[in-house]
This record gives sequence, C-alpha cells and structure tokens, in this order.
Amino acid sequence: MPSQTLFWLIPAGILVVLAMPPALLDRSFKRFFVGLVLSFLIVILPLG
Amino acid sequence: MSFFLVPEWKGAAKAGWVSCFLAGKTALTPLVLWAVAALYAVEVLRVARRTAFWIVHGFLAGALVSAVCALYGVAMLVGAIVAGSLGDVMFLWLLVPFHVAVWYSIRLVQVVRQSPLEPKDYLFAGVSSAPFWIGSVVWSSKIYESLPDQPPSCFVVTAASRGHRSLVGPFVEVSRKGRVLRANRQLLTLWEFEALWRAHSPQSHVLFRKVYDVIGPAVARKIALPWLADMAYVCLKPVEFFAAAVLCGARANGESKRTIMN
Repeated sequence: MPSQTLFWLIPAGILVVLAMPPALLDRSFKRFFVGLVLSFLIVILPLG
Repeated sequence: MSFFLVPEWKGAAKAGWVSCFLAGKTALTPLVLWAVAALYAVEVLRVARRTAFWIVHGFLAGALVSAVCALYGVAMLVGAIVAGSLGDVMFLWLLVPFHVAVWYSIRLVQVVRQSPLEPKDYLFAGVSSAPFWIGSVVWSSKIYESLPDQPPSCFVVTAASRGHRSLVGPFVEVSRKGRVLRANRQLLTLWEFEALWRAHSPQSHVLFRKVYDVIGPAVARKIALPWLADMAYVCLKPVEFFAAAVLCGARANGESKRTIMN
C-alpha cells in the first residue's frame, strides 16, 4: 500500500471512530456525518 | 504540521528560541488532549452535563493554549510578511489555532455563564497547566540550542544528529571548509564518503547534489523533534555502514584519509 494512502487512512479511520458512538446511540446517519465534520474541525485539524 | 516550519539553523531562527516554539509547544499536548476531549464530549457526544469540572477546565485549557498559539501564528505571519518570505503555504496552518481559539472561547463563556468559576478554579487551572508551559519553553530553548550555527549542507544527516545525545553521540568538533562544526560519527562518515564520491565520480556526485539539495531540506524540516531525529539516525545506519565499508575499501587500496576528507 502506498505510504501516502496509509497517511490519509489513519486520520480517516480516527474520524470514523470518533463519529460512530453518537450515530450508533441515535441510529442516525445524519449524526454520523455531522460527527465526521465536527470531529474533523475540533479534533483532527487542531491536533494535526 | 507546524513542525515543518521549524528553522534548520540558528541564523534562520529570527526570533531565537521563540521560533522553535512551533515544535516546543508539543509539551502542551496533555492540555490539548484534555481540551479536545471536553469539546468532543460537548459538540459530538452532546453530553447532558456541560458544566462538569473536567469539561469547564478543558475549555479553559483549550482557550488558553489555542489563544496563545493563535497570537503566535499571527506574529509569525506578520514577521513573514515583513521579511517578504510568505511563500510557504504551510504558514496558513498557523491560522488553524485562530478558529479553535474562537470556538473554545465561545464555549467557555457559555459554560461559565451557566456555572460561574471561582478564583480557586482559575488558580487550579493556572497551577496545573504551568508545568506544561514551562516544559514548552524549555523544549523550545533546547531545540534552538541544538540547531547548527551554519546552514547545513548535509541536511538529513545533520537533522538526524539532533537526536538524543545518548543515541546519536558522541560529538566531536571538526574543521570543515574553514568552519568549526560539531559532528557525530554518522555525519563524519558520510562527509568522508561524499568527498570520496566527489573525487572519483564528479559527474554523478553533481547529479546527486542537484537532487539532494532540493529534497534534503524538505525532509530535514520534518525531523524537528529529538525522537524523530533518533528514528532518522537509526534509519540512516545502513547507509552509514555502506559508506564506512566503501571507505574501508578505499583506504585498503591506498586512499589516504586526508585525500578523502579534502
């Protein structure tokens, strides 16, 4: 697997893991996608 | 990402150790993780009790760290504009703390309105975060002190020699091209190898230098922390062993060390 793909897969995986819990609790795709965006803005971007 | 903006040598660090705060601020990571956890709990998990002690103090830590980083980013941007060096798109990353600072500040004001903080809370926040701030200043100073006095010519190996002394040392002072430099065994071996290469195959050496002078500084910029330098040092070991073997062979064939180094 190219290292660049692996590089982007790690934050993508973290985003999915972060967005999952509220989406599973509410069984809502909307919360999953909102969670993805919010996790990117408040977790990935500042820590990156 | 701001690691990439750490200067390569002391002359490029216009603000002294403050220029190395880009890497030194890593010491604030525990505070940042606490703050991120608090914001994640409120924004994504939507916890019911937003005025919980750990959330309020997380917001306080997040607002403080991001505000300082945002101010630092603005100062760096102004400095880059004044110096006319705003060509690096990486400087835009310095704007990230700005949106985070606004976000934390808004949330902090909201929770403090719901549950006002007492002076002891501010005292606790200050005392508990002080060691991390002191650590970031000390770390920035150490990174600045570890930078070479002259612009590096062997970018990656020089960067790798900024690792922990116990691993990458010992260092010796050597005279090279009329300058006194501090170098470890790996750097000495590769300098020697490069001199041999230049002497025996100048065309291929020039070609290598043309490529390396472009790629080298970019790679070296990524090696901004001592543990990254340790990793780079270890990764370069096979190259060092290869160079040492070639030098051994050259000496066995009558090549003097003086000739190799010159």
